[in-house]
Amino acid sequence: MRKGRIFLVLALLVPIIIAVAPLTDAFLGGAGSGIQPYDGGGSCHVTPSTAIVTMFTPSLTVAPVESVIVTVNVSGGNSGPILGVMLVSALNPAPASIPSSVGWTITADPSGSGTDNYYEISNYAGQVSLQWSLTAPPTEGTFALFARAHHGGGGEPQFANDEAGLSFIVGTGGISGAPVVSIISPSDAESVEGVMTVNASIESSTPIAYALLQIDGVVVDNKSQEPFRWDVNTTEYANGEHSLNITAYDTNGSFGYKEITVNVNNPEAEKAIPNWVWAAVGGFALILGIVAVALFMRKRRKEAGASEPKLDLTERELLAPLLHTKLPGYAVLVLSALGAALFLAVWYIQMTQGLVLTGMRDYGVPLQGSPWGIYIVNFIWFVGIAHGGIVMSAAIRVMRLEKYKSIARMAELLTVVTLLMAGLSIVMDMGRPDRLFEMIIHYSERVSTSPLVWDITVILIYITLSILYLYLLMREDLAYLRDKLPRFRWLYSLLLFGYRENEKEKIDRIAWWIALTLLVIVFLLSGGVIPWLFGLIAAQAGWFGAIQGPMYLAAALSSALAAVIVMVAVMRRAFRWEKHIDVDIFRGMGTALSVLVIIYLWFTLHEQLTYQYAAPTSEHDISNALLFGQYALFFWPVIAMLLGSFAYLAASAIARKFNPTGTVIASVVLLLAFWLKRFLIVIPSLTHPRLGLYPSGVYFPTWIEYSLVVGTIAIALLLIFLFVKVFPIMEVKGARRLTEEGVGTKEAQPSPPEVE
Amino acid sequence: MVRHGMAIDLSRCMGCRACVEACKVENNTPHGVFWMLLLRFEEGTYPNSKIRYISRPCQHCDNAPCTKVCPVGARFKRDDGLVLTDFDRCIGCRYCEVSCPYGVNYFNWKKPSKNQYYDWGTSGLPYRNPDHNIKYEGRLVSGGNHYLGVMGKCTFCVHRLVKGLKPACVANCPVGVFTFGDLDDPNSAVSKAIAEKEHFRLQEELGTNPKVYYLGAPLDPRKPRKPLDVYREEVNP
Repeated sequence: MRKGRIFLVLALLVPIIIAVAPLTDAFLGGAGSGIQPYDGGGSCHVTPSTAIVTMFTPSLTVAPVESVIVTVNVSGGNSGPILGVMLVSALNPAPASIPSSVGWTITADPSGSGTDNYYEISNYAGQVSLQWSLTAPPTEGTFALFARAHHGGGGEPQFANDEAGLSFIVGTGGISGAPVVSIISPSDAESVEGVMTVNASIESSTPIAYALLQIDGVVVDNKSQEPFRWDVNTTEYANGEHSLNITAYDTNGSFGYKEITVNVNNPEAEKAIPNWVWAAVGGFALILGIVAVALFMRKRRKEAGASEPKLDLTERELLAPLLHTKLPGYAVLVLSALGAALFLAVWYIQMTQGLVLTGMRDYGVPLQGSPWGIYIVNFIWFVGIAHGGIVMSAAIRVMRLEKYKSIARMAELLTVVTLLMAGLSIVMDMGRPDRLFEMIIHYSERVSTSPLVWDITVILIYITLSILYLYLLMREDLAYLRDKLPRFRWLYSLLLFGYRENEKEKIDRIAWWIALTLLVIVFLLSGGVIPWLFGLIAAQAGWFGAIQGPMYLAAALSSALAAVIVMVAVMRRAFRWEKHIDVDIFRGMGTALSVLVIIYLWFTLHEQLTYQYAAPTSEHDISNALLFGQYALFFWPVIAMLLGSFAYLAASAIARKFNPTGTVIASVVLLLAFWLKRFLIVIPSLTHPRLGLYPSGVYFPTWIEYSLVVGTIAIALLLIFLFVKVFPIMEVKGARRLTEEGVGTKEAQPSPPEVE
Repeated sequence: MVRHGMAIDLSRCMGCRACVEACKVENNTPHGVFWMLLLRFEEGTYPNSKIRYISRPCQHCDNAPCTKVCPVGARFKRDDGLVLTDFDRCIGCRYCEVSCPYGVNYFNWKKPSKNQYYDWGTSGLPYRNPDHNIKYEGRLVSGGNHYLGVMGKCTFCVHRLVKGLKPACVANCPVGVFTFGDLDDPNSAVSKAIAEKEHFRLQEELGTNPKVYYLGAPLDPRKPRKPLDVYREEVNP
């Protein structure tokens, strides 16, 4: 009985001891050692056959004796109190399965204090992550590490492996015969900023096919020959660590690589100041500067005031803009300068961020937009005004319309300024205006076929001729005023180089021939290359055809006449030139304008009727969109504006009483109408592709485009204002001659031959 | 001299857009840019209607209007018939796009900021096939729209042709819609394909003389066509 009782107590104690013992280190690994071969281990109680063991390390390429961190994750397996995990160098039963036998040195095991390859967890909860730190073997070559969860108790040992293990390449490239890459700069973990020069040397017995540069696993570039050198702009990467890998492939297909980390450390970009702040500051500075200059000139003028009374009364009237500036003048200056500042700011934004800010898009699928927008509309509008302006001036000179002579210089000025703005409109439409010189380089090769090159040619011819013309005819006045206006003596003297007292006759002859040239070529230019820009393009329905030339010419001359009327009226009012600019001038120009407008309307009727009657479907579609579709909301008001202006102008041409205000209002309406009409020429054709497979598109200009268009108009105003404030816009010498010949009053003047 | 041309067999096309995908991956074109495009549309009116597919690469016209109007000669035709854009010379006036009746030009409205279709990582530059940095016949003509403010379009994969490969769309079509080769050689596959079947070219009446031939019945201009996307919007707005 006693024996039996002792046996019972012992029998109860054994399981208790077995259960308590694993909590101590006494049974570690079953053999009491933390260094275990692949099959070692004894008493861990998790049955690991269903566990999943995975391994992870940051880099598989290491230098000899480089430190390596290996993380082993175990999940699954039935949970139990004890799990044993070991790191081995081979899974086969070999005595060399302990990592140290092939050269690895364990510097820290998961316990943090030991250097063992075997580790037991006391309470395995179904998932665990363990970390070993090792030092790579000192010799080059390929070295593997495997992880193994092991249960050695009972009869049959159970285990789960990471079958793939980790295959470390120790040394520079690993595979023998493969290219050996070494990175000369930057060195590993170097801190770089700005442009980083990556310089590598590649040694290989067979020729190198190519070498790839990868940063963070993204291929940056490849090179197939020396030098293997790249300049990488690190500002395109975030600050912090990035991996940099150079992999070289030889012609046999073998490869070697070298991977390092670099620490991008660019100085923090200063917090970007919003563009509108710059615009505001720039605009403010511009206005301040202009006001300062104006005040300074005002002071100078007051000081010089004593020396200026040489002018007689008529001259004082004619030179009013040069002598004093009133408040509205300053208002115009400030507003137009603001507009110019807006133009510069917005253009800067557009150039830095791309034309995506405009409403223009590719036509067709998928963007369904219009590749050209209101920049081109603005271009045609300005070119029209420009061509017509100089023609008016030329007609006045060639046909000697003495009555209109007082407005000739205004028309010339308008031409020069609007031509500049037309050029600007083209430039702001371009994606790469910095490459404009390419047009000059390849001019001879392209001029035979490209209508755009013809356009540039025409604009250059016109701007040259009109500046020359304006300048030559102004020389007489400049010479006359040189002594009378001491303020501008230096400028006038500079412009009068080579002046001779008796040059007048010669200059007149030159100017007459230039005027005749302009008159002759306007039909080729304004009624030629600008419409040809569109009329020759068969791709866009609604453009191709012969009516474009006459239509554009009529539109150009009408809008030019309207612009001249508005300009003359404004100046006449602002500078009190009622005495010098006859009301009859408005009547004459208004009558001519009415004829041109009705001709234009007649052409429009022809065009639309042709499209509607028997045309290819694509033309018919565009006409329908204009007359009844999405553009009808613009088309009919434009027609109404044209018809209304025509009716008023024609009526006032016959009526007995004449009021110039009405003519001016009609002209403003016409300017607007012709701008919109140009829109209706350019956009509908581009949004209705001829290829029937495409859906029709839409185009809405954005504020960027509106700002730039308003900006060009503001710049034009600013240039006109500055010109008027510096140069005599009215002919002083000519007017003096007339006054001296006549008795001083208008009625007594010899009546010039009337043509109109 | 070869004269590269393409035949597209409409009767084989099943509208899978593998050609579009291949082009995007090969040429790294950004958002909204389809150098190769597949148009899927319903032709006719129900019930007398059917669904048709037509792929639209650049037509590489022999008498290309875009090369005529280019003011700087950036758009040019090579001796082997390819119509290409010199990205180093283009001034971005978009006249070529305006003059093209096929709508194959895609302008670089903005600089691409993210990877398209071939995302090899979330940081760094958009991926760019390094072959596109190589100048072919001395000019920078190959590859994706990665240059702000210039025009781009299908190149018939000029960078693949020099390696003796077919364009990406041709190589990737699962049902062999495309035939590519020398139009001047009567024994080439493309010449035979054109000779064997009924064929047409897009907007031949404009005289552009395109080098892309469509095998199948010509498109009847009188039949109404509606893109399938429109129906999708109608059904599922």
